[in-house]
Amino acid sequence: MNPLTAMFVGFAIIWGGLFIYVLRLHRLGRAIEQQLRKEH
Amino acid sequence: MATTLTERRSEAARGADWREILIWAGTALGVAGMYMAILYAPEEATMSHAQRIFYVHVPSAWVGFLAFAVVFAASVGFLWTRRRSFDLAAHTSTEIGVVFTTLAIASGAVWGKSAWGTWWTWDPRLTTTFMLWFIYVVSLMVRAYGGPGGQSARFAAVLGIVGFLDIPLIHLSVVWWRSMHPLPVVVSSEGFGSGLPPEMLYALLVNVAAFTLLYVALFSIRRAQMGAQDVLAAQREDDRRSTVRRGFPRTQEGSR
Repeated sequence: MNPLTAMFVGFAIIWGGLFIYVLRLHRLGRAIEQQLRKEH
Repeated sequence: MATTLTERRSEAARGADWREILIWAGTALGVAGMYMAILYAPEEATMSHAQRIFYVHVPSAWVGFLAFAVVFAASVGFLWTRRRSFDLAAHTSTEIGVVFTTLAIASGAVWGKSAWGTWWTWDPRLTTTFMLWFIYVVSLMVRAYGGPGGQSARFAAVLGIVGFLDIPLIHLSVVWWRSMHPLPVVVSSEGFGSGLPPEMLYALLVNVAAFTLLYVALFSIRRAQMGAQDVLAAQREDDRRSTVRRGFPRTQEGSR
């Protein structure tokens, strides 16, 4: 693999991973907030 | 605490769309940063394309330091006032700091394999960074296994303060001791960014901004989540107590 392509793949994995992490955390927070509304 | 449970509940149940804006803004800036790191910044003469790891490694380390600075301030605040909000802020920032320091160590290892021929060596910069990571992992373990009550929060706060003292040591380790790690090129005695060509500096700054924005998004999301979990737990405890109070006379009658 071309070193520049390898670098791009590495960067995409890191940014993709961080994006999924923050989005999942956000959805989890939403679920907790919904639970809070449902219970009260 | 000044706020009532009802106030805390309504605050936690209020959805915040600005967090989504932060996530998308951070990601857009991250994509711009990625473009600049790969296509805009020039190729380094000696290390070639492997040097581009720098555009992930340095922002990750920066966000790790920022997160632990927040942990330090929140821990001091918690030990001073014993307010739960400080403890939640310290806990949140410790988690994020560990994630980004892990990323800094991992990206540094990939660069090290290319530049030094080894994934890891007990170099002063690497060792002091590992110590930092380890202290905050221990702090998370104290919170996870320390049991309920204020003691684990107090221990974690002390670790949060002690761990932060390692950060100046990390920064100066390459100057004080014989280290293989490159010397600082952004914050150095010669002036800000003087060790880098302008294109490299701009690419780095965009990536630093993107990572910082992501830290702010992560912090606000996780902090709100922990607050909501707290309110849920307090409300359930409240419900349990009122059920026990309502049920208690009947139980007494039944037992007679």
